Amino acid sequence: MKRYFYLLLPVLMAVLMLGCSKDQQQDSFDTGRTGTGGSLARFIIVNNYLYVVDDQNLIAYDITSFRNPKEVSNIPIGFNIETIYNMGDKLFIGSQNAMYIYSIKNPSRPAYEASATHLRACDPVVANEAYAYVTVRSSWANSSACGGNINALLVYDIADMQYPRLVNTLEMYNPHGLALYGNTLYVCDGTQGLKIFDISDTYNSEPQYLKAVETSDNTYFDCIAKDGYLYTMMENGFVIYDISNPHEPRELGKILH
Amino acid sequence: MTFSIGILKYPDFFCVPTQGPAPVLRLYIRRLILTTMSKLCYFLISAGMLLAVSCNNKGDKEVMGWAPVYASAEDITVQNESPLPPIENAGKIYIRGDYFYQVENGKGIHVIDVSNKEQPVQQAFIRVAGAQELSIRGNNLYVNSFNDLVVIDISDVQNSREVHRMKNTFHMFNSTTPPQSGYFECVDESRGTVVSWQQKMLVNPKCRY
Repeated sequence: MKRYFYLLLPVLMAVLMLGCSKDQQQDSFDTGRTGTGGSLARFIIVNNYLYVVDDQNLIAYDITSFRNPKEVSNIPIGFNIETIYNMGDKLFIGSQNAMYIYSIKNPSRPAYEASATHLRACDPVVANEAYAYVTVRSSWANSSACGGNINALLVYDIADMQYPRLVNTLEMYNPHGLALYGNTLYVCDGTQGLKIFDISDTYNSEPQYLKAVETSDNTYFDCIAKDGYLYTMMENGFVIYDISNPHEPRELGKILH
Repeated sequence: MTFSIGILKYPDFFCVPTQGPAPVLRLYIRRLILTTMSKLCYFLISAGMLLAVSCNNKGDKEVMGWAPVYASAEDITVQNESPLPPIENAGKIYIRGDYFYQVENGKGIHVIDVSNKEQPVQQAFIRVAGAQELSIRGNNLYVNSFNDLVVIDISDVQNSREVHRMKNTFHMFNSTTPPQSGYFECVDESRGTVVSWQQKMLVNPKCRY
């Protein structure tokens, strides 16, 4: 039996090596380019890691080998977690009553940095170096699980990342996702359209409201601003805008059912 | 046999005098009747609950509860679907280069060619049961299928195929217990993946939470 095993060993090794080289070949042809998701996402890829938030935990997967993700950490964050956003070496996590900041300096082990709690409502987060923008939305208008009684855009000063400070609250109608594009902030305010704010004055924490755009009475849920275009997630499809002039989105194409 | 307890929820069902002797006495009688009645109520409700789950003619226990809805293995196989379905229950979005992706909530991923931004064209629909989230790296689409993390090879988007699946790696969808507590039909994994829950009259349910 042993002799047979030794005879088989080289064959086995050859098979294994073939398997490996096939995988490596696939990966080496693959540049590993990633794209961009919206502010409501629960999945985000940063370098070699896929971060996922489920209802209570932040889970990190090592995807160095693209097709063989490995769970490397699973950290309890809080309750009713909903969204994840990345800026630099920070993760911003939105739950129904708080914004959490985690550091990914050590990407396989995200570390708690700070949190800011607010009234119970749903809340995606986007951030730049100076401020984090959070929308909070209550359940009264056609959403499911969000509680509370507030619809607003909150601005947190995060110059000191350890101590986020609420510096502004702007009343909104029914805000969902949001997107930053340079000095412009887009907020998807449900049936009231896509609201555009100028945030170029960093000394003034209050976003300057410019206007709202609407397409065929639809509900705006989320948006992605990327390379001169804005993609909006609607109730029954999407719309693409040209934002080469960020304050004046121009509708290009759409698929709406 | 089932027993309705709905009507006993309201103590107003019992007559409480609003006219009669002096106010103080009236109040006293009223309180006496109410406490007695509420005690009786509790008794009847508990008895009713016992009855609600007690025997029918054959000695079987019948109760309203939840039952899992299963999907067959074929239903949950990742594969391209054609003709391309319309975007109906539009979900989350993702952009990379000339391709835009939109989740069809619970059903899969629409792949849209946006090289001409004025005229986006649906290119493919990748069926992924329970899909809600997506992200992409290289030729690989990472998506959830209920509580599984699935990696899909999209190097040929017309022939996408599952290359890896991590079963039950997170909790985005509750497949083990129904949306409300109470009796439910136990999950039988051999019947497939639980895709949702429906209310149903159950006979001798063994599971409860």
